[in-house]
Amino acid sequence: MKSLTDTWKLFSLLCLVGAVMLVLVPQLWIVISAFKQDGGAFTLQSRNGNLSLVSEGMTRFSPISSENGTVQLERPDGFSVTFEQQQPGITLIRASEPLELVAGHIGTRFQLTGENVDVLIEQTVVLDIFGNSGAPVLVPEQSGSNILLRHEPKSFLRFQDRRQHFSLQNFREFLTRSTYLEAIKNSLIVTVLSTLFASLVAVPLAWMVARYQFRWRSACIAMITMASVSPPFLGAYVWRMLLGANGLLTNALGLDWTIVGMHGVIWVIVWLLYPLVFLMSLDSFSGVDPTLRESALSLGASRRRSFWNIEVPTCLPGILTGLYMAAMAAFSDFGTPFIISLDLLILPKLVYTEFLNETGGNPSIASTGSIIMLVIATLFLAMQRLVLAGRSFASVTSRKQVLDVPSTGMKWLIYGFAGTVIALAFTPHAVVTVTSFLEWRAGTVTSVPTLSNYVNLFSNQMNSVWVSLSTAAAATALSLFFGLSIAYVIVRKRYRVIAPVLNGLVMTPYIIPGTVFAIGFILAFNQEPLLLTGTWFILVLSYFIRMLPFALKTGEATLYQIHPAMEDAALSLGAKPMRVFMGVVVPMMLSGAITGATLVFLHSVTELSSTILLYRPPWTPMSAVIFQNTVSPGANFGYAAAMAVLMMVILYVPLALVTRKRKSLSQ
Amino acid sequence: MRISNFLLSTSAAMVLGTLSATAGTITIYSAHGDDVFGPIVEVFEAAHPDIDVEVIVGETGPLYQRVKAEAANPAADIQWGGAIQSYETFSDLYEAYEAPEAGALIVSDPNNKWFPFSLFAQPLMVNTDIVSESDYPTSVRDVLDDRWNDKGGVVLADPNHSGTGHSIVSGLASGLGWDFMTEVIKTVRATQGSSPMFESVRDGEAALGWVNEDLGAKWEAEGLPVKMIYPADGVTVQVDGLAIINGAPNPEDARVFVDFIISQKGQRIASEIVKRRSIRTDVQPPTGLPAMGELQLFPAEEPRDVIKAKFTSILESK
Repeated sequence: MKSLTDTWKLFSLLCLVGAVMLVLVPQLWIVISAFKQDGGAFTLQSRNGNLSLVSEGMTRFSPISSENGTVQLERPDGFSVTFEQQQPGITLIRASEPLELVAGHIGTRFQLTGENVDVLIEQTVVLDIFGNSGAPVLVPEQSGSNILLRHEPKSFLRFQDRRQHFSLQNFREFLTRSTYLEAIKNSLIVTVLSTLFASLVAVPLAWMVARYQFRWRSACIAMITMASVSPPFLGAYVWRMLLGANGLLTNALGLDWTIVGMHGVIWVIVWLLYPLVFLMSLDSFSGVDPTLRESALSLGASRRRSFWNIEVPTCLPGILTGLYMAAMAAFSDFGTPFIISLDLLILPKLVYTEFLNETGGNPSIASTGSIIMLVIATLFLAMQRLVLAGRSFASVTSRKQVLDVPSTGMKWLIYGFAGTVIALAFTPHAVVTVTSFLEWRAGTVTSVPTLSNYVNLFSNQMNSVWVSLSTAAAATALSLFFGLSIAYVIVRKRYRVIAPVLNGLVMTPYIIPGTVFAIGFILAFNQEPLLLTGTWFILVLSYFIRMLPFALKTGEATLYQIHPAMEDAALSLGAKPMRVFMGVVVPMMLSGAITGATLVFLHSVTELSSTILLYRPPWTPMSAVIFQNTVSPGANFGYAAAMAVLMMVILYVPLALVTRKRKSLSQ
Repeated sequence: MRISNFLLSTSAAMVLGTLSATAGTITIYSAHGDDVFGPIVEVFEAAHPDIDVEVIVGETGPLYQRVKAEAANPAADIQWGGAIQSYETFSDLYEAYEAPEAGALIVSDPNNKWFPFSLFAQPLMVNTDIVSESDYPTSVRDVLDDRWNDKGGVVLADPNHSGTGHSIVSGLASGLGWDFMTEVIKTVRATQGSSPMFESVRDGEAALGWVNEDLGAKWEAEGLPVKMIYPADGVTVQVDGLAIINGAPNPEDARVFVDFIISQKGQRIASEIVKRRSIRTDVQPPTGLPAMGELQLFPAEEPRDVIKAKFTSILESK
């Protein structure tokens, strides 16, 4: 038994080191910038020989006095600075400590340094279009310990202390400003409601499919899995096209409404999430030891009672894991609200727009938002762990369930329910397929049929198919290996510190917005000896780290249903621990492993948000091609639609294989 | 333009990983789509057969952050697209270059970091499906009218997230005053980015908004249900630019490219084919757009941080 502990402990430690290197280190900048604050800023306006303080945009400083062209400001730490306009366009800058001019480039800005400050002063004058009156005047001179500044008499002067300090101010601001509180509230509403609706659709459906034999059963599973294959943002685009204020269906039915808004966000996310819950619940329902139910029934329990007291509790790990994954996906989905809500404030959108912002944004607030998202996600994870870890759901047999034959009523219920769900989930796919055979003009579709979208595609971009498939396959292989073994560590080994930390680290990339995650990757891997940016490897690494949670969580859910007695039996017969894992555990985890691998592969191929910052030709995956052709309002949308269809078709081939495999497993 | 369509048969390239930027290739991060950069790059490559251009397309905001994250080892030579104020904000990322033709431009950077590419006015745009012709606005003040309320309202891009939003808010505030602008901000729905503003009017989610005129003209020409209106009391104006990235792998050829973009030849293509107003006085504006001389123009005035802070505080007080 000793050697067992050691092998796995060593492996866990190695994984931990890897997770620290690939998750923590690249994303450390977020933590650092959340706890930092710069030295403050303010703006002065110079007009008619007078100098006045602009009340907006002032941070950390507060005015002491402002009269006769002299403005004095103070900071809580005692630093103070005075701007004294001596005559129009000539201002003396004094501070509570000597200021020194930093030599270097001076155009519209120059730098000063002191004991406690690193100041950037920037002059803004009205942009003179058609005038080209020449460069504005800005000449600073050292005058003792002060600075004498010649500037444009009509201008704005912005003072910024860029030295960073440790501070909790960002968190204080985040948790008090109405904008941010509103975003937190909306995020929680969207997460809870969309997860709830997705589970109302997915769990009963999974139960029916797991329990009953009916025609098209495996086709049904395949279709639901296929519905989860969707190029990024497709659902949101299509639903808006159909049900927006001026949408096709809205007009056809004469409705007076729009899907744009929070209700639309929830609606679209439900259709993104339900396959996730469905697949994980299906695995659990199928994994229920049939003898348990049979014994309950033979002991006189009603079907209802056996369902609530036997089936539901044993399936809880899978369902809860599915709900957790769905909730986290809803919580961190940025694309859907971005497209289908105009002015809805919501956390992932806020983090994205504050980080990746052409106006400079507010990286500290964005980082703080990310940390708050992480904290909320960790609470969700802790809740999921708490519910699961305290109970035993496992069964000893690996006997498969025999499917029941449904009554006629049940049969039609299944057909109706599954049919409706599949039809709704496939609406975006069907619409994009139709539009890929139509001409697009200026970002809107016409009714003129054409094949030119495909002709263009096949003559230009076939390379991207190869890039997508190879990167996703490599990421899947890595995720499968590490996902299953880490799941084993978390469920079976439960090392005190290592297991929860590892779990938390692996789950982190699942909720960090992809673009933010990518920035971390660029920062970490853009220099020798780890020069990976722009390569095939960085795509693989990014997909692997971002999709590993799927493999981990599906593996974990399956493991909870397998009783450790099986492994103990093998061990006591003298098998080596690794042999036990490979020979006993892995085969029993197979259905979970297939689900996990499928999810990793599909999500890797359709991943967009980190791809667009990490890819570089010739390693251009399909998702990037789609993005390139939708990014600008004048782009070639028909081409993007054709690529989206090609992507779906290509993904359906491996999916069909998986479905066949799953079918043979269940027989 | 090198469209990478070769099949990747060599695993050697995969093992080496990087494709080192060879001399004679420039890499451009472009916020413009193929419809804008395509024709220009094509003529450039014809004029400079020794220089290959590789274009990577992205959204404006993420591109600045990509350049920033890559600063230690830049992968691209040029960034193209985005308001010149944004290049100002990130000016540490770019290399100064004294272009010989800078004197011929209507606006130029005193620091020589960014270069103007094109210029556009930002008129109002209505959705013609939901607004009848008699209700079209004639002045900016009409946005305060309550006839928009039951039609999806008025949309305006938040200057905290959009360069376009910055030019509009800053320009209108300097031309019509902050009292007026405060009313406007309290009336509108603020979108986080300029595309949502344009597209919500196009799709009828909102009745009225502002638009960059080159895009509005393209949509009108395609017969979409939109109509641009240049209000008599004032129109804001924006210049979008490009810049050479600090530490670019191929700075010489990047400068050649910048020279081409601001040259009369480059600007003619921008005006005639891409339909963008030139930043040179010796190039005719595209057909179909009103002459700048006929418009009351409000350029941006106050510094970006002030505009952002004022907008946010008004929005939060509503």
